Amino acid sequence: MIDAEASPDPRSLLPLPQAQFHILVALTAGDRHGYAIMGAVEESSGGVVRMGPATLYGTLKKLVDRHLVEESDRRPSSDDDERRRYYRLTGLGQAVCQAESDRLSTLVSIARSNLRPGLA
Amino acid sequence: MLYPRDFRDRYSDDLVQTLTDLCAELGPRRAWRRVTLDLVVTVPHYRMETIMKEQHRATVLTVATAVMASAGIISPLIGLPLGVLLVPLAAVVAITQRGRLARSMDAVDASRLRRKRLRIAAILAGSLPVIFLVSLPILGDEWGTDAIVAFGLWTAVLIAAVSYFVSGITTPKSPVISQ
Repeated sequence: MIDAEASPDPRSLLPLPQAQFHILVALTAGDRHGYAIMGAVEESSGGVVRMGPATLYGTLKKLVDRHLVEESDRRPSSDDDERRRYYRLTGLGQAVCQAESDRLSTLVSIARSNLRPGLA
Repeated sequence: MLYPRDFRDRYSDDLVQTLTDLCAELGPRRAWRRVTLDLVVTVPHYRMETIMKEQHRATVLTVATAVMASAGIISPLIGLPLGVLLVPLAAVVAITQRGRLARSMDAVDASRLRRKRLRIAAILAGSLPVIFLVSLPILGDEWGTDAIVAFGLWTAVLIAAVSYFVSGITTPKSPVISQ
């Protein structure tokens, strides 16, 4: 558990590597297990980003170590396989995801205004 | 087995479960193709991350220093007298890198770890004359396979003894932080 007073400024963790941001975005929709995260990332990227299992869990490991993601005890249903591990965003993870979204949004606006003036 | 131990310990079950899910959704061929590509990219990356960690670097440094010292001891025996210069070189490396080696240790367990390593070094060093005496009957003017194996075993034990000795003397005597 992180001491609230020791939590870093979310902006100090930016820019996020692409894989980490994709996973944080996938978890904004709620608690998910690894395979569901993989599917959500592929779907949200229109099939462009396809993570392999090792990439997924290697990235999850980094996110857990940085306290942006944590394991969740909740199960969507009692029938669910107990061996599956579910993950969720921490408070810091939500803040970092928000900060990265804002950063990319600004970047996208600049790109659009430069490429097609008047359509920013 | 290809991935670093801490990654395997933490995520092996999840990896197997995910592969099972992939096979169920994509079919075995497409699933294994995806996994193989992922493996080719991630194994070197994760292994390199492990090597770059401080503690692993310290272990590699210790072994390298011990191999240098052992090579310096053996080299005059095999007709390379200048090789003995590797011994003082290994000593210089051990002394100058003592801080790095000490920082990588868990300070609270340092004393116990130091004693254990020096004890193992002493046991291994003590076994060297025994191995030599046992090997005497098979050593002669011409070295057959048995003699080469015996010499290889003696050399391996020597390297291990020097490794443990070097790692033991570079471990702090007393913990920096008391419990």
